Amino acid sequence: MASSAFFEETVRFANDHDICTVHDFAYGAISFDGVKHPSFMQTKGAKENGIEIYTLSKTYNMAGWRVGFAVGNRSVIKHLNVLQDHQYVSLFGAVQRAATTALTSSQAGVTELQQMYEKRRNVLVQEAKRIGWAQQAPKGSFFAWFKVPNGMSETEFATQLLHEAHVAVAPGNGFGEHGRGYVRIGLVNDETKIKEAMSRIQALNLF
Amino acid sequence: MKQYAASTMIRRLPEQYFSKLEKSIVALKSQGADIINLAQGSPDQPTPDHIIKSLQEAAADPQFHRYSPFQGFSFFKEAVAEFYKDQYDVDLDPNEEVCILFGGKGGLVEVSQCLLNRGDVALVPDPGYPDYWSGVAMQEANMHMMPLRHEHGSFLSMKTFQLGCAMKQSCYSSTTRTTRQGGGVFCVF
Repeated sequence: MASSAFFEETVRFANDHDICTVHDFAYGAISFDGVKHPSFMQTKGAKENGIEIYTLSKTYNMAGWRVGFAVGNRSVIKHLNVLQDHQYVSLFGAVQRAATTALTSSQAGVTELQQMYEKRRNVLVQEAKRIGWAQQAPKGSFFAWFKVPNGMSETEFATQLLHEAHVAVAPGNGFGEHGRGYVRIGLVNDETKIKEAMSRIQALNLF
Repeated sequence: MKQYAASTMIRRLPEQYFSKLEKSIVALKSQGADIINLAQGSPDQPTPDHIIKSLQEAAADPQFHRYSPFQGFSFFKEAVAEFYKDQYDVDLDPNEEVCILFGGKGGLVEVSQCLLNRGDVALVPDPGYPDYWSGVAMQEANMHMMPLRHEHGSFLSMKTFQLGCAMKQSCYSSTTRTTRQGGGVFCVF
C-alpha cells in the first residue's frame, strides 16, 4: 500500500524524467488497522503530473456494473475523453445516477465492508499460523500474498492445493516474475470457508 | 467455416493467464468437487440496496433511454468531485479534471492508447495487475518492470529514484526524442 512519502518521491521522480504517473486506486477503500489509504491526488504536484483511476467495483460491490473514473491532469483527461468520443457514448445514464447515489449518500456500508474484510484477514492469518504457515498480515486490499513452502514452485503448490485440497489460489508468477515464490489468496469468501480452506491445506502436511 | 486472421494488434495481446486456472476450476467443479475459490478477485457481497434502488428508478426514466452526453452527465462528474473533496480533501474541476471510465480495467487500457506510441516505455510494477500489460502491448510500447519487495505482508515499491537512473538510461536509448516529447512514458502502480 502506497504511503504519502512514496507518493512525494513518485511525483519528484516522475517530474524529473517527464513521466506521467497513473495511480490505480481500485482498493482505496479497503484498508486495515485504522489506516486510511491516501489518494495520490492529495500529494502536492500529483494532479499536475498524472492521474488516479478509481472504480466502484470493490468499494461498493459493483464489479459487474463497469463504473470507474479518472481524475487529475487535464491533458490526460482531455485525451481520454477524445478517445471515448470515438468508442462509446458514455455509460447508461441510469447507471450514472446509481453511481452518483453510491458516491454521495452515507458511506456507512463501505465502513462495514472494510470491517468485514479486516475480520476475514484476521481469520486467514490466524488460521495460517495455526497450521504452521505463519505469514505477515496484509495491510489492505482483499488479497494476501503468502510465501510458498520451501522447495516448491508457486505453480506446483497451487496445483497441489487445487487438485488435492480443492482450494484454488493464484500462483504469483501470473502477476510478473517477482511474484514467483508466492501465491495470492483472496478474502472474497466468508470466514467459515477460509477456516475450512486452511484445514484442507493442513491435511496435505506441507508445513 | 471461413477463418479470418486477427489483426497484428490482437495477436500482440498477452496470454490471459487466469483463463487456464479458471478452466481447471470449472473442470473440477463439473466433476462434483467442492472447490473453495480463493484465487479469483471478484467481490462476493451484493451491491447495497439503496444503489440498486437508485438504478431501478432511474432505468424507468425516459431521459436515460436516449443517448447520454458523450462525456457523461454533469451530475455524475460533480458527484465524483464531491466524493474526492469529502474523502480526501482534494479539489477537482468536474468538467476538466474528471473522466468517466467503463470500469478501471477499461481505463487502464485507454491510458496506454492515449499516451503511448510504438517504442515508448511504460514502467509497470512486478508483481502487478496483468491488465496493465494489455494496453501497452496494443500500442507496441515496451514495459519496463519495477520490481516490488515483499515486506510486512505487502509488496512495497523499491525506491523510485534508484529505479529512475536505470529506467532513464533505457528510456533514452529505446525511444526517440520526438516520441518522448509526446509524453510517451508513463508509470503505473
